[in-house]
Amino acid sequence: MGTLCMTRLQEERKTWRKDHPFGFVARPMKTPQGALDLKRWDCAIPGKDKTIWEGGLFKLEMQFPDEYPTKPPKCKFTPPLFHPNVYPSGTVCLSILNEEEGWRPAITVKQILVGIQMLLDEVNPDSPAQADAYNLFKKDKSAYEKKVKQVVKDNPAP
Amino acid sequence: MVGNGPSPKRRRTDNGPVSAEAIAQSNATVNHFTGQGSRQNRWMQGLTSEANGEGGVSGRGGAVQTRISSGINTGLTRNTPSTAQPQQQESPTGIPSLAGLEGVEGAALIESLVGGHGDPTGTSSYNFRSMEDIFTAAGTNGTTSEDAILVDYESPNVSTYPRTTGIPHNSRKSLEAQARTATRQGLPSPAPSDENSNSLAVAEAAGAPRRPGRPSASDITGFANASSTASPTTIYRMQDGSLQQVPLSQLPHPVQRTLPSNAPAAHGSPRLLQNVHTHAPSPLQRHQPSPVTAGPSPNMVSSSLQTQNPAGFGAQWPQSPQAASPTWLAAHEQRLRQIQQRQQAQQRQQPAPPLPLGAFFDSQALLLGISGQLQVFERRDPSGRSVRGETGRLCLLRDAVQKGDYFYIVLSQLLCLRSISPTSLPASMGRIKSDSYDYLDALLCANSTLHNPLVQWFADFPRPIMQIYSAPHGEGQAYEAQVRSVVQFVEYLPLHWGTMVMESRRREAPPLVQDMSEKLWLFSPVLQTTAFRAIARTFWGNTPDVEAGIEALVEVHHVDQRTFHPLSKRSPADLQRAYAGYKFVFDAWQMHDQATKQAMAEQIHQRSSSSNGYHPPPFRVPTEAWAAFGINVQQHQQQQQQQPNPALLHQQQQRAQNTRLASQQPRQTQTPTQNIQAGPQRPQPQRTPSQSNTAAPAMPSASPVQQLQQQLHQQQSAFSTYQPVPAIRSGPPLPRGKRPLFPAEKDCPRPQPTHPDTTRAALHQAHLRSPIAGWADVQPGAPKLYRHVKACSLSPTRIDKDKPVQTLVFEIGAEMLRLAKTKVHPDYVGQSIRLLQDGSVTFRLRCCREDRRTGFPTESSWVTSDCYWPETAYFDINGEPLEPRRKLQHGRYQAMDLTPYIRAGENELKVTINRSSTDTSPFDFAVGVEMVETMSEERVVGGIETIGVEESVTAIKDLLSGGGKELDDDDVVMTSSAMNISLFDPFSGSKIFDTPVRGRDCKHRDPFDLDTFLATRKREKAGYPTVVDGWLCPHCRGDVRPELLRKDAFLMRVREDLELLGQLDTRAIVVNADGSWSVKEEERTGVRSSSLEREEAQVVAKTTTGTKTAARKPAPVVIELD
Repeated sequence: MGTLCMTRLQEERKTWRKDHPFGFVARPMKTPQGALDLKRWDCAIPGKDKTIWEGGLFKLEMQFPDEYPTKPPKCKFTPPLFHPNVYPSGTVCLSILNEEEGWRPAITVKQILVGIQMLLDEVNPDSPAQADAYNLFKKDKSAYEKKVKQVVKDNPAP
Repeated sequence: MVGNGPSPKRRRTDNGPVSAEAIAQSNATVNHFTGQGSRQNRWMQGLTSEANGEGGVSGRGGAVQTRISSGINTGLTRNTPSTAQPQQQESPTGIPSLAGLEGVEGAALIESLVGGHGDPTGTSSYNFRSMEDIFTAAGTNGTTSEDAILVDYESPNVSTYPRTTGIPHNSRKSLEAQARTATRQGLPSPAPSDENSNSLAVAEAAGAPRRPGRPSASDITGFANASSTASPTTIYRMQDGSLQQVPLSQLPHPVQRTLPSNAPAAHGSPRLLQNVHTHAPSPLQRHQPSPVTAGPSPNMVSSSLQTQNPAGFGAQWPQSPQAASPTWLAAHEQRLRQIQQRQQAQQRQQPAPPLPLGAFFDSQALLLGISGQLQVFERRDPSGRSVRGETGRLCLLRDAVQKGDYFYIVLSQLLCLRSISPTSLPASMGRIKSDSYDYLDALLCANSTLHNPLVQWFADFPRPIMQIYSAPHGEGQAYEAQVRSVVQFVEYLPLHWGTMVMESRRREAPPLVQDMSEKLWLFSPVLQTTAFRAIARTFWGNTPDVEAGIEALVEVHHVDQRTFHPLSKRSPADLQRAYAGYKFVFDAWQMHDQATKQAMAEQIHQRSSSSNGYHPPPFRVPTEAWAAFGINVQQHQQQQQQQPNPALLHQQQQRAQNTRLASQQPRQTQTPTQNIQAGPQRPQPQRTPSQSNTAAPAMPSASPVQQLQQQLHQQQSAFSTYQPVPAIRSGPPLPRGKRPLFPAEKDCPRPQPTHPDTTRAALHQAHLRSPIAGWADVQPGAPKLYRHVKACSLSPTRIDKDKPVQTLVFEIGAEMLRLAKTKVHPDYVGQSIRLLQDGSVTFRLRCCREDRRTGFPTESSWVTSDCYWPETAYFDINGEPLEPRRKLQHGRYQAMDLTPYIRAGENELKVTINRSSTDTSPFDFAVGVEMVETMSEERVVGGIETIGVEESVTAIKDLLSGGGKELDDDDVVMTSSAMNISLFDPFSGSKIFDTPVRGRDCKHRDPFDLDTFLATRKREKAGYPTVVDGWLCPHCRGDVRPELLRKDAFLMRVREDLELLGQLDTRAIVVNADGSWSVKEEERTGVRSSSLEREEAQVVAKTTTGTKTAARKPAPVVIELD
């Protein structure tokens, strides 16, 4: 793996620890031996205030490829989240996370997580990723919101 | 790789050794070996014609020569920047073996053949010539012997590449012809008197126009001879049709293989046709040949006759269900008279043509007789248990009559005749060994277990054998033909039955109709179904409650029968698919069975008092299983024609005992006399079959009326499948395992649309793929090469959607001298080489969506646009058709490489739009031809312009003093009077830049580090030149191709100042409107991690207590908790 990747990840971790938005979590996982695995991060994104997602905390796993930061990390809600732009596997469908679309090496972990937080409430109906949430979102907004509130209730922020 | 090339002639033509200096002098050399065999046909031809067109390039063989001397021979070397002096010497090995390069400074790099696009998997957009083109080139147009050799050498590969993009014109035509003849063989002719129309179909199929004025009879014999004798004749016929002018024996393999598709009816592959007629299921069996028919291959004669002479025989005999019409009997009489007259007339000229056996019997009368017998037995035992064998056999016979299955009728008669009166069996039965009958008994229920009078009745069904043999009009001959077919089967039965059962059990799928007809020579639909049932029963044993499951399988089997056609063999893959279909039904039924049993048990448990309340849901055959059989017949016909089935070949060899099989040799088939000699008749001892219980005869449960209707339907659908339309094989693939539609939480993620598995998703365009990167070693220390779009040779030009054909012309001038040559690897079939060095250019075509209002205002806007190939547009470059790869490849459509087709001077790009006039969908596309240049790192770095300090500061001042309207970029944080510039390199994020650069057109002032940027450009493999489209700004994704990179002297000065101040860890500066700048204070916007606080507290504690001085040592064990 490239040294650039590791340098950058160390830097990302350093800056995150010094300064990160309130309520967010991002930390490298530990290997079974207890060492830090900088290429896999456990993250959590709080629902934005004054949205239907408020009060929830949604766990997410970030996987950094060897080519990072030339290539974006893969972000995956664990468990998969009920959201029109989240694939059934939990992978987030967001342009800044797509190398061919909006990814730029300058984007930081913080920007990614904040971007995903914004995506929660600002659904992009042009790129549906899961049928359940998308259909509900399109056809029955109130049922969609009800379902989201249930999801929030199931994933409460501490 | 050296010296073993299949075409030494080509390679060695005026090739001399290349000196080491020559190689060394050509710095930064890239060669690329491609992995795709078939591709080279295409570009190789392009190459030769190109070379011929230039007229001056003498040595086309060696890659070394290519690299150095492509321009040399035309005297242009001095213009080539990095190639040294002309070297006419060439390597005897043709290619610079990497071994040869190892001792040399010059670097061997590898470039994907595609050249154009930046695809890490390597894909290219080469078109292929169809095989016909190649043949033409080989046979007629070959300009030099070299070309001919090339083509010969290449063509074996041609047949192997997937032909998914459409059936070549030629074969498509032949398919239609095939389909037509195939249909007519079995169907009542729509216009029986229209002899010519049908003959024409055959003539077309043969690839030879029917010559007018030729008498029909001689035409027939001519056909028979041509088809039956041997290939030489056939080829001669082909020459008549001017399809081929090359002697077959001299052509490479694929040519031979393609010939049949050009001429299905007349090709010298008689065994195929023979199979049609001897192995055909019921309808075709009416055309059984007469054994008396003279000629080396009676079967062939008859086949030709049938197709040629529809008015006469066979083809017009109605199917038995249609015989129900009352007018039919009268018509039958009349037809018999016609037949007699015709026969009398023809007997003077030639032997009587055969009549199908069915023509001599009235199926209505036969059915009446059978139902009479059935009534007798059903009355005797209404439950049907004790007379199971009798009714079973009667039902089978009834089915056979309804289906016109004379194979079974004759078999039944012979089998019973053997029990009643062995001496009256036909002589050809003598060679059957007695144990063969045991197998039949096991399948059909032994005669000894039946009521004797019924056996007697069977023995005289459809008519006493002596009457049949003594009847006029060739009835005996027709019968004898059928007998021989039956004998064949009975002989094969003991040989192959065991293996077939074993194989079926192993794969948990009963045999296909194709298996039975190929391995057992079993062509009776009725008996096929019986055998199928018997084998299916072995899966579950003979318990009554699995009958429903077996019937489900049989249902699928009937579909198999319906779609089976002797000409349309399944490919191995299709076979597996079909087996999987059976297995799927089998598994599905087992699951269903278990479920119903469980449900039943629960029901009974719940209300034991009324057990009759529950009816399990009926089992339905899964649609996936149907899909496995809903296959395309035509495609298989073609395959069959091209590749004779090895199994058939084998049988043919067995069958044709002493006859040589080689298609060049005249064919002989056994005559009845041979059969008679085979063995004396003797009574065979009866044996009690041991397995008769396990394989009880099948008992069709449907009523006669239902069966009749079903039969009618089957026949109709059987023929409606043979539409001369190249259908697409559709239907969902069979599920490999049982996996839910929606993945469970812990399932591994499925391929995402944005990152498709291109090795699977784009298989249909596998031939367009770039080579798998080969084995070239990259020399350590070789100069790094970068590729980028240098300029547009054809500026983005809007495609006019209303013009069907538009031609765009662009000029190629001096760039031609630096054109990278694409070469065939001389030693490895299917590998291509392209040598890239500093300055090499390639060309590629791209098509992008265009904003209707703005178009592409700048070159950058074009270059950064995504490539997209509209479905309705086709492209030709200088007369060469291009094949765009329309499939997403790593999220992108790929550019098409034009390099091999580019010529000096005017080049023509033809765009063909195939759009319906009623199509109102938007069509806003532009095409452009881009010149891609390869550059060394020195040239990239050396070419970067610098923005002076003054200029840079002035620009910032202008921006801050009101020019901010341009600043719509999110990354530029504007304050009222100052501008932030981030200094840390965006890649590492951990340190300040060394050399600050940004794009000329970038709207932000934030720089990135040049070295890091160049180091992170994507390469397909370490040491290869970069991909073309990798020049995007890490801050804003803007266009930062090498020419657009700018160094910022102001920021360089800032860095110097900071270094002096010892503040190189400054992340950002603030530039004020007056041009002054200061270090930007880092301000916290969020929270600190509590773990960081703890760590720091720990460190402080440690330093204060003085235990350790390692103040900066991180504590890796402590993980922050938020």
